[in-house]
Amino acid sequence: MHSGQIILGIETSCDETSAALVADGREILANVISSQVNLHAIYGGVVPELASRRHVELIVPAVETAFKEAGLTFDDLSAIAVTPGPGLVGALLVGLSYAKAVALAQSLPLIGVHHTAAHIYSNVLVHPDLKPPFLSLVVSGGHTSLIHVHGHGQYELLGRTVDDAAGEAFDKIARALGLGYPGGPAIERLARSGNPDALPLPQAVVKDNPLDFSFSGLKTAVLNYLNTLRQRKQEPNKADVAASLQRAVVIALVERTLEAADITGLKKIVLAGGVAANGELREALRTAGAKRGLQVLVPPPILCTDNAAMVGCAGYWYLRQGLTAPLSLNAIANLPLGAELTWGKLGEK
Amino acid sequence: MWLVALETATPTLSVALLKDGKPVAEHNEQSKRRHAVTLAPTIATLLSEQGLKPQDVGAVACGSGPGSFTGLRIGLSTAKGLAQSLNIPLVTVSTLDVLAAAAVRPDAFTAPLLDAKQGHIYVAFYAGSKEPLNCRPLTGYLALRSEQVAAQAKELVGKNRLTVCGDGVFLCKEDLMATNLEVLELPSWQNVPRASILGQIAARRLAGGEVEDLAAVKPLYVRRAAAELAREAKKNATT
Ligand SMILES: [Zn+2]
Repeated sequence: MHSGQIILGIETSCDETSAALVADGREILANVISSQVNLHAIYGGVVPELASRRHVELIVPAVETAFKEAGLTFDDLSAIAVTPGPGLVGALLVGLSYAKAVALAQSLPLIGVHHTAAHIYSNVLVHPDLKPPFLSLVVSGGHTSLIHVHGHGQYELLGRTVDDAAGEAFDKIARALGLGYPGGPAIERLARSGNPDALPLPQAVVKDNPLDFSFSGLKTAVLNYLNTLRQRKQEPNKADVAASLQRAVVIALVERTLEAADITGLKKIVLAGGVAANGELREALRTAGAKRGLQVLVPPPILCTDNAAMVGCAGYWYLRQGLTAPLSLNAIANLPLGAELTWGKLGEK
Repeated sequence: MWLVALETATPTLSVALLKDGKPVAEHNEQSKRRHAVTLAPTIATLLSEQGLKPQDVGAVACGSGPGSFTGLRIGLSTAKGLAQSLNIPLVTVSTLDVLAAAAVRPDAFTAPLLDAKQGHIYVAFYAGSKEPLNCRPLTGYLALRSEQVAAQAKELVGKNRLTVCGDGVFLCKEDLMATNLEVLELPSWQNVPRASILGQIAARRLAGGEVEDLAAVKPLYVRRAAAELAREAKKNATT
């Protein structure tokens, strides 16, 4: 038995079917992640229709396992939190429809948690005393964003990628090098034995907003380099390519983040998202932050992947602020940060 | 016992409440692409209009398709959430069975036809029967082109009559006319799968012990994902 508020978190935005039970926004009682990586690997990337189909088969067992692990039942819940976007809309709809049905059946509050916000809250799970305001860098296959977190559910987007996400650049170069899918971990493994200064790569500057990111130029430069070698019938040193790419991406991420800390005066930096599992990024941000007297928090790698515990955690803090959603909440592929919190007020019936 | 029935395979959203196998309330709307928004609120409204709490519901029935892949997943994921959290049985019924049940009569074959897009039609063929709520197809649930539907019809129906219904009728009209079969069309209001009929079929199946494995049950997609087909075609081309 648990005396606190238990939130059931549901996350199906991409290729992980996840269900979690979180107590008081800080204690993970269960965090079941059913990965579909093998299903999509043969296609070299996530196939949306196949992901959606698999979610339908995995959602009930995921929730059942979570309750079993936690020794709880639906009667113990205080609310249901779910990701309504951004993500693959067909995949999101499975988790969202399921979550809404549970909220309806159990007469419980429904909470919509933006996927990027959920990633940020993975840090709250391991640092329960972490309180806004703070700066967050969210990096994944789909996003690269700098966010000023003013309060629970109060976000200001300071910068974002104007083209590819950082993880996307990793995935594409990994494919070009024949490293398979997913690309990020493969690049990191290979980079360990490579020379990060081997390739002269451009640092992207975005004119309109110094806090925006751009990774397409970097990606193109690496692809051109590989093409030139191929024309000369030379083999690339894959480890050097991986190391140089990773170094360039990490420098761009760390520089913008420190700039954002300067501009906002924020002293706490919180790293989040799938690419937050990258060792070089974690180390570089920690070191650079420490030099300037900034506190840098990084979540454990397991909480960097898509998981429902971070959704359940955010759900607890949203519930405390009264930030609940109506049963008409819809899944939106490119949901803007914060839009899920105004769904009811937008007059959506 | 109260049963909630959901049908989301087509542009029509249909939700019904049944008591002891008899329809009590039904809501139908043409809500193309809005099923995700309207389904849960519609269930909540129907329950509260009957003065029911969710805990009063004893079973869930869901149309399993074929139909819109997304629509099917919205319905089945909702049904799974209700059934799992209320700890009640889930029964699925093919959307084509639902359409057929409204049309089947003793002296004619029936073929419900649904627009499957990309030049295809979802179809199944049913023999004449005095018990339309028990009808099961003679064929499988198929995705065919119009001329294939006509060819199947000619072979199965012979000198008998054929009733057609569903939003795919207009796609097959020309090819069916060319067969010289005696084809009956239903009035347009009978062309949508209704949850009240789905619920009646489900109640009978439930009484017969036909309950789904909640975890494993999936929609009747009939068609495979485009990416799977493309991959296979590529493989066959190279071997
Ligand atoms: Zn993510």
